[in-house]
Amino acid sequence: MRPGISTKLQPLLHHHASLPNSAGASRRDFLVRCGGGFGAVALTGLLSRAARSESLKPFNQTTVIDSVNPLLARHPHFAPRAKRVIFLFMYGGPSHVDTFDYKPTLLEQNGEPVPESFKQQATGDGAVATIEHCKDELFASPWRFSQHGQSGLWVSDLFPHLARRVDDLCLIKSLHCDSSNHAPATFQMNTGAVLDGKPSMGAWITYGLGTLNENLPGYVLLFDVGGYGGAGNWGSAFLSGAFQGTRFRDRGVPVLNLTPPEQFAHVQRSTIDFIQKLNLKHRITRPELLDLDARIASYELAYRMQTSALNVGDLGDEPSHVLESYGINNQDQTMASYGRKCLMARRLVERGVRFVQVYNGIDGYGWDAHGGGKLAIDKNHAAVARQTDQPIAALLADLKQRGLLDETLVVWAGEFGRTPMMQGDKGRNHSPMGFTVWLAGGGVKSGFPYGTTDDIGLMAEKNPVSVSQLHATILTALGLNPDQLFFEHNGRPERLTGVAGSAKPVMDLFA
Amino acid sequence: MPALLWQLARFDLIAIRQLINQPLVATPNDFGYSGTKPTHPDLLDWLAVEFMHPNNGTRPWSIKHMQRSIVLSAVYRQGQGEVPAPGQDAPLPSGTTAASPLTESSLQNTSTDPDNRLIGRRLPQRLDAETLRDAMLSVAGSLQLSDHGSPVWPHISDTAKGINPKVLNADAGDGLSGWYTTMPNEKSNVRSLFTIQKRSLKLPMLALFDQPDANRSCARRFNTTVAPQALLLLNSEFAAETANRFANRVAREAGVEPADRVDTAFRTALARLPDEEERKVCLQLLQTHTVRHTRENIAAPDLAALIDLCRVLMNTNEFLYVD
Repeated sequence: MRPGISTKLQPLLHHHASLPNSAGASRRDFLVRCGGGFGAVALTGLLSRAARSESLKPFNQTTVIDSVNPLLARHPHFAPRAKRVIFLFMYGGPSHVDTFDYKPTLLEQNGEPVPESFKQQATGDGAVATIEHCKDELFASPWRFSQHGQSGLWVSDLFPHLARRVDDLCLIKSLHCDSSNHAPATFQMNTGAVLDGKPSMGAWITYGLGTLNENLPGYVLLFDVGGYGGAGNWGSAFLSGAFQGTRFRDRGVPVLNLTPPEQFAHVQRSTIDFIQKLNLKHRITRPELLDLDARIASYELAYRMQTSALNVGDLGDEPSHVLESYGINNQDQTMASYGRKCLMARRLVERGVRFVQVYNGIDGYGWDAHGGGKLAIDKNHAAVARQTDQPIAALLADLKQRGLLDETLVVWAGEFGRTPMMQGDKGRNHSPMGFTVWLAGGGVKSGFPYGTTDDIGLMAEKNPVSVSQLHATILTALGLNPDQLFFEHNGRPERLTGVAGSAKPVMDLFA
Repeated sequence: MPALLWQLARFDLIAIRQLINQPLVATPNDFGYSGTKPTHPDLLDWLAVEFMHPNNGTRPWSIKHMQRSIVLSAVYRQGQGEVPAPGQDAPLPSGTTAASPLTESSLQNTSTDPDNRLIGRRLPQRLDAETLRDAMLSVAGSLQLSDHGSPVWPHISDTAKGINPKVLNADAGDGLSGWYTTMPNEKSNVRSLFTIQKRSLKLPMLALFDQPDANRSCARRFNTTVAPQALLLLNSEFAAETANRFANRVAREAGVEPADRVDTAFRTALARLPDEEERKVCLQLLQTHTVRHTRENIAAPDLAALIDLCRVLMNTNEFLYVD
């Protein structure tokens, strides 16, 4: 590391609220003058207005994240194609050869041994483990594939609803990742690194762009079980905790501690006012510490969140045909639950939340169809597809109908795909070497396939895309330069796309 | 010098940061080429040598000895160098004395060393997660100081357990995968140090106030200030119960006279008496809230108002930030 760079990046260290900085000196002086003593007006409006004018600059090397309101909207580096992201995380690893990647060869050679040429091609730890843990037997998809829409993209019968929206999808059929184990691959898809301990994509994006609604967190998660590896997948690691994912629930009160205990309900506002009164007096003699301003501001946000977050969770104001379309009234409770999450995702992005992540699954398996009983591919994938297909199709249609799809990038991805070889009884193993994910909306091409796997669907062949390139593409859609979005940590400029900063976006995916 | 690095790092972390909240090296995980340079290299050397060969004859490698040396130092006892607002004298709450007189040099420090890297004054320091929980229990009079031997499982609500539903559902009878609240509840009011640290589910309060991930080493904690923290201190079951106990304690110790209650509440929570102005507005709060509780037909409306005041005090910046 060159010392020169280190010095240049130094201002970024200020982003942590615990490190006092001098950037707000004039604002503080002003507040000291006008906010002195009791009887002062609530100053949070003033604070956020003053801070807002400072924040309307693109994120760059001298950006100082405002400690009073770290989530204030910041300009992207260049004109964005998308303003927000809905990430539909398909944990467990959905099979590409049973969903979007049609392989006639598998049908022709069903039950035959894997040709030697494919075995030799597959190198690396993940590849060897993947092949060794399978039978030497190609396994054709139990589902029929057909072409849909004007684009004529292939979709299997697993996704009857999504097949009707295929003209909205931008399929990346040549993604590859670096691990064939759930937790590392899940970490990689969410944080860019196979090891735990890096900030998640949602944290990076809210760090770079802030959020568009000051009454809600910038990064919201919806899940029942969450992915393998747990909170490391939505944490903020060395970035400020303000950027980490906040979990909303799809039933009842969406956030913990949102409603005051009954004994305080009728005095909540006057109690908060009184706290602020004491806090304003306290801060006069401690003008240096911006944390104190931040705490004062946080009580106002907390008060507003009590209403705004509750409101997000109240699906009662949605017309019945919308509830119906998302499957929320369906007898299948797993579909109803996933439908509520998808509908809440729309309600959240509609209100300006920057990054929403929805996990499938009500058990610990997700798409993890290793074979045998309910984990045979025909049982497991049929169940998870049924749970997610209609709600996801409804989400795309709903976003489009409201004019939100143009500025919302929808990402559908698991941690890896599944092998074209059989594992156990009608199962498939994890396959990291080539699988399908899709994007929709947010300025990407629609009805567009990109890249291919080989004839049996084992390895990415044409135009392979790495996870870092996928991340670089998502950042680029949001107007962020992946190389310029960094945080100086332990002497290295950390990025979502890695310290080397060499991952390039796939520009062919953009319309 | 390289042989001392490990000790130096320990000092930076344990002693200086915890006690003075100002690291002598801003990158405590990195004393190498890409780390920042120490602000006080001679002091670091002295601390390392003192750690290994204490000059007063105490046993070497004694962290307690080092902590004592630090808290007895002039640096530790500095005041924050209070800056008067324009046109005002620096106000000091009555019944207290300034931590240190406002000196010309400390005033200069605020402009020449805004980040206080040279530790020319003391900046207020937020209680860390564990200390905050301990302080709330202590103020409420419910902190159990006895040693409980094995770690204690504090009560957390089912909604909070829902953060990791596996904990909710798992009861394999192995004593490992679920959450096994220590009964009765009062027994779990021990210092946070003695509470169980479950990797898959942190105590919501500690997690929210930036307790680091126990799976990794943490060189330096960073404080965040986010709205869910305010929601927790305002609305959580723990905060409500603590406020109730605190108020009952104040009522017990101060009697029925409102002014005595205000004084006792301030002294208990903030270690000082209110000034005249504060006492006045607090009495007004007690009065107006008593009226509002009466209107809502709440039993013991004056106690309910005292609970409100106690809730306020535990939410103040002064409670969370130690000068």
